[in-house]
Amino acid sequence: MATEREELDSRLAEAVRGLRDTPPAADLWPEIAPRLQPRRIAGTVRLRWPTALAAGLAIAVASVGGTLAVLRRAEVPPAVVKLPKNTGVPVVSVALASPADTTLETAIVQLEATLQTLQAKLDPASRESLNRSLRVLDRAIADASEQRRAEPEDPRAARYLTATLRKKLDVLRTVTVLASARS
Amino acid sequence: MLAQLLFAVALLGGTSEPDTSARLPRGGSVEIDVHTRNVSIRTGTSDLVSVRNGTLDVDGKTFSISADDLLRNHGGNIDIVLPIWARVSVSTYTGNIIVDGAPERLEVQTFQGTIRVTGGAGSLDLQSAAGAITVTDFKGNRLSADATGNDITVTNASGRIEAASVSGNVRLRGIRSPHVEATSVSGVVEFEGPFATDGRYAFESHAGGIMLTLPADVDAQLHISTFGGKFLTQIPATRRAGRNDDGDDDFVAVFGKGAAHVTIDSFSGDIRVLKAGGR
Repeated sequence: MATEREELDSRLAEAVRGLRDTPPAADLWPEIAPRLQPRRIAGTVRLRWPTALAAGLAIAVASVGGTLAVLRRAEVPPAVVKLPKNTGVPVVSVALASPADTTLETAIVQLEATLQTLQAKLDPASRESLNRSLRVLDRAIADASEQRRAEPEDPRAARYLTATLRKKLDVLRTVTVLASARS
Repeated sequence: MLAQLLFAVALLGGTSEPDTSARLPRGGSVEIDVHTRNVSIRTGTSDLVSVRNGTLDVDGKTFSISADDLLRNHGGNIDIVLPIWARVSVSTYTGNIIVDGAPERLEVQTFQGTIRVTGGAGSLDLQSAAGAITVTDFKGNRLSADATGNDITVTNASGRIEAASVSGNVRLRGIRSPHVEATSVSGVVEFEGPFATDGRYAFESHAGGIMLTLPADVDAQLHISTFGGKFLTQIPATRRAGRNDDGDDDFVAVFGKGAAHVTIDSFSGDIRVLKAGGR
């Protein structure tokens, strides 16, 4: 027994089969073409190709320069760097040993800033608990950093520092998500 | 006026909201989102979801449960019964979560609340920024527990287990799993149970120390890396130089033929291997 939907589908198919292409009596294009204007999205800037080429070169040079600067910084011996001090989250000195560590540290500073904003909305007990964990992580990073400085040739020390920084980043990510969901 | 009066009486008198029930379509999910109220969940074999002291909203295959925080002091726990096959997510801020008989798939996120789960045959994903996590009798596929600032205790569990804390202890007891990862930064990491022959295990603590309680006939190789911790064992082992490609091992302790693969990382905490039932 055919269902209502199947009957509808068969009528639709019949209607489609009955459709025929019918060309217009005269060619309409010559009349339409002169009226068309190129469309521009609001807020965009139109660049001619020499300008675009120059802009592209400038971006490429800046990008290569930035990368070289980071790599060159990585070649220098580990140095103690003070992170900007903020009020709620503990700050620690870190031996910058590799571009990966620099990247991690930048991400940590950014997330700490985000978390600091969220912390204002947490109750005191939650804030204290969170800061206690972050202090523990900062202590671990300080230990790893000290070990890195003491044994600059030891690849384990370098990897341990990176792993500890990554751990702090992971924890910051987690608590930021949990805190933002509730603030 | 009358409604306000009744509400005030309910609030002050501690009268519970009545039960609300609805049948969850197969494959459906339950989302529980409350702020400060405690949540108590039980699972049953029927397809019915019932809620006491909370509000149930039905939207196709998704059920949402919420609650008014004004009643937290008088309304008591939000009691929920749901099908064991349901996919369930729970989110609270300070509310504690108790689950008796975990559903097929359970995700819990809380900032300050504690999480206590019994049972479970599927997957558990538990996160608390400050509250403790306790899991008992889990026999599922995967258990992930992340308690940033508090302890994690897992007892009598199998399946893949991942447990991580920053300032709390991680205690895994009565574990029968081929894959375990347990980490803490300042807390102690404890593991008690046999290692599976082809199992892979990783234990890590920065300063809190690592303690493994193993059967006397343990068959495993422990790849140990530490900067300042000591390695102590009650079970005889042969010791050889580290040999993995990274050069990360300080040394390897081999028990039996060294079947299971275990990595241990400790910055300054001691690593102890105790014999199960030993003194």
